[in-house]
Amino acid sequence: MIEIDGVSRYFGASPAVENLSLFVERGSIVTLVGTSGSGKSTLLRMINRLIEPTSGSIRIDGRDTKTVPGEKLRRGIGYVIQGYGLFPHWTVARNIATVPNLLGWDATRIERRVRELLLLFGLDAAFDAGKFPHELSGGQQQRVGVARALAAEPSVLLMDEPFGALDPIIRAKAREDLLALQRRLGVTIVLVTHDMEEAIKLGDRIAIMDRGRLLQYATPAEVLARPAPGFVERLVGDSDRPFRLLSLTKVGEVAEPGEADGPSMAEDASLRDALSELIARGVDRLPVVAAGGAPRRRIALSAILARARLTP
Amino acid sequence: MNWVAHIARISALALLLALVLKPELFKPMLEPLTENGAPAIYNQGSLLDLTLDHLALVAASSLIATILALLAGVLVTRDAGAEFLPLSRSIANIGQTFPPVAVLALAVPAVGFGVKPTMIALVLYGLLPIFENTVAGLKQLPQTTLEAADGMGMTAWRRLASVELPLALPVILAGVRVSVVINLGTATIGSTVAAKGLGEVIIAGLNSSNTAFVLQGGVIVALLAILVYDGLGFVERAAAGRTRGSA
Repeated sequence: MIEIDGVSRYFGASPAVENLSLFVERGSIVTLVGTSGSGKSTLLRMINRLIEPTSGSIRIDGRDTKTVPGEKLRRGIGYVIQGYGLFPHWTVARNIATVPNLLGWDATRIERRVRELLLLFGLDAAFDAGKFPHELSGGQQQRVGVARALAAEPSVLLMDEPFGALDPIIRAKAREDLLALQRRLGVTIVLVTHDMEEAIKLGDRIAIMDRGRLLQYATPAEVLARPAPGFVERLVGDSDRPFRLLSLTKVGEVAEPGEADGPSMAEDASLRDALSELIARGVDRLPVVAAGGAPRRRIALSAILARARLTP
Repeated sequence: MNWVAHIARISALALLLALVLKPELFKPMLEPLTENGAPAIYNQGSLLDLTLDHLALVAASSLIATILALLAGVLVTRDAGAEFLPLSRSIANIGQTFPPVAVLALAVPAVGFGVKPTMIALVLYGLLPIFENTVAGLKQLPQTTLEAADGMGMTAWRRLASVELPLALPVILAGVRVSVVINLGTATIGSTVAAKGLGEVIIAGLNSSNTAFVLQGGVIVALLAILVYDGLGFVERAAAGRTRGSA
């Protein structure tokens, strides 16, 4: 749980962040979106005090961050940046062990934790642990960066454009992995991105910033359906908007009872996937399969289109 | 390992050892350079002792120069010390441009003859390459690496000791290498103020117009410089190997 309360940060006379308040629920993902210079990275860095707020206060799990020395605070918060910043002269294992080492864990505990994380991130404990960062692929480096951030089991994870250096295919996979990981560990994540698609895909809530101010803070569905006038409207108001809306709803929520021919859709596929399947096959409806052998249902084109309408 | 380099290295070492330990072997070659029956082989002391004195002088002055330059280089790359960068740079530059002979002339009245004035001259002369390389090595570190170090909760000391200096080490060592080699040659002038070293051989030769002495002293110093340069190159590459992919 992170409470940002009336926080401002001035560089000289100009505000990078101005009187901003934000509440991040425990175990949720909040994405901070905005153009460069919007103050989103500054806001993120004020949470772990890499940048000190000029005024206002930030509380993590109820405790004011100012009451702890900066280094100590940061050891308790995961931090992932674009380009990862892995230490090039340390092996993968030692990189992951950075914070446990700073915290003075004993060697066996560190080794056990590193092993656990390598496994969790799909890296080979025996083979990859001794490698140096430059011997890894971009995707592996990214995973090591996240593993390092999570090594000391922080309750909060801050991520600044964590997928920015990945190519598109690996990026999609990395987002999926992050979501799965977050559901499993229940860690609270604040993620900065300039990519609205990414913000919608990952965020339980999206905070849209421009010129140091918070313009809208809402769920992805709300942002898409009712964007705040002005900047947010322009940000989400392109031709993809209906499709983004569809990508937020699962087939299972819209399926109706009945039969249909053709290959069946999974219940947890998005309406966007279903629409593309319907168009590709040139049909009006497809069967839907449920996990536990529930009665047969189908997804209809008209139901999908109704959901994509921006003004209900 | 390159064959040619390996052979050259071993030959240089063998030649050096022969010159220092068994100088009389070279008598037939050096005799034509002498006049009026002057001795061809340096006879005013042990060449081995002079070589060891020379190396000790260079090692001590390089160590002091390295410590000073490293401290200054670290200081001026901290936020708090950034304003001292131009000043430190000027001092290091003056140390380099001011002729060591002039330093000796000024230092002797202050500290007397012998090793002390020579040390002062050599330390001043050796500062610049190490200082500049320390500053360059620390400033070229990737910003993301430093931000990650801060973000993980490293203190400034910890970051310096476990991230910045290890990553800058190859560049710093390159500076040390240049500095040591410069001072191996420069240390010969110490003999003008009675510091023990290979300069004695050269100066004795110059005083008595004995080219054989000059050549002996000069070749020994040159071989030392080549071998030390080569040896420190190994250390540097070993350090760089550990930080591959950092740049």
